[in-house]
Amino acid sequence: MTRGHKASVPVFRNDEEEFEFWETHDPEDYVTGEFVGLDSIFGPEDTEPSDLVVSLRLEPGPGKPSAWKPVAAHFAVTSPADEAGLDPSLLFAREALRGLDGYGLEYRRAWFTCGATAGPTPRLRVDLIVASRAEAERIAESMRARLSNGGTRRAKDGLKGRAKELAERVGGWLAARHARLISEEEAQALLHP
Amino acid sequence: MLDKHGVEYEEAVEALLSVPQSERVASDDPNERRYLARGRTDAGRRLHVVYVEEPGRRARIITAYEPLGRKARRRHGR
Repeated sequence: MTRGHKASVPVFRNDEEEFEFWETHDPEDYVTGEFVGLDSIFGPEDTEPSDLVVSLRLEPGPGKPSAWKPVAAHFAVTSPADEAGLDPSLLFAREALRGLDGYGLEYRRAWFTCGATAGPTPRLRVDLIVASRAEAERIAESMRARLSNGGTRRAKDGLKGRAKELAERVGGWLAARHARLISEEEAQALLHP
Repeated sequence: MLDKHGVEYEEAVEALLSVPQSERVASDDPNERRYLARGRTDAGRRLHVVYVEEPGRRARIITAYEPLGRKARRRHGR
């Protein structure tokens, strides 16, 4: 199929139908030649962010007993970076994702939410899964420790694998941008003035 | 879908974010914005990622695959 005579992807009734479609069709046959910047897709529409609020929420996965209580930590980034012209929430997501190296079906789900105080919220949500409630709490604690210690303290030795890597990367990202730990109330007030 | 192609979710997102632009995919549904990102993971693995733009500035990743792997599959009629 040559460019200029590209086919259109049909309307799908559900995700499963689309999954099956891409098993037998090559996306290259459907591209339009129109390139769109990431900022146009994920970035701010008509306002520039003045602050960035980063929330880490760790919530029990389906079927977990009531002892699995939600864990949350919120950070305000007052000078978000603008590396490579990308939206700062994309950079945060990249750092968070670099810290991950696997999934487990029985694990607990966590949510990272980035919201800019002067932009539409939430800006971006990153889903990830950590191995246990204790591990989830260690991640939050490690990130808090990095902030309280100028970003120089390494993650605890007991934190292994992706949890340690995640805490180091995300904590380092936050610390390098002079993030400060804020309360749930302050986070909500910033995001929903 | 990603498991089927031996791609981790994180790898798909890394590849999606590794390139500054994505190419629009033509669709019969005028309300759906679908893209193809030709990127690389942090480890250097080449991946093509098909994703749909969702409300709230989110992306729903539909599939991701190594481009050579897909061509080979097509040659074998799969």
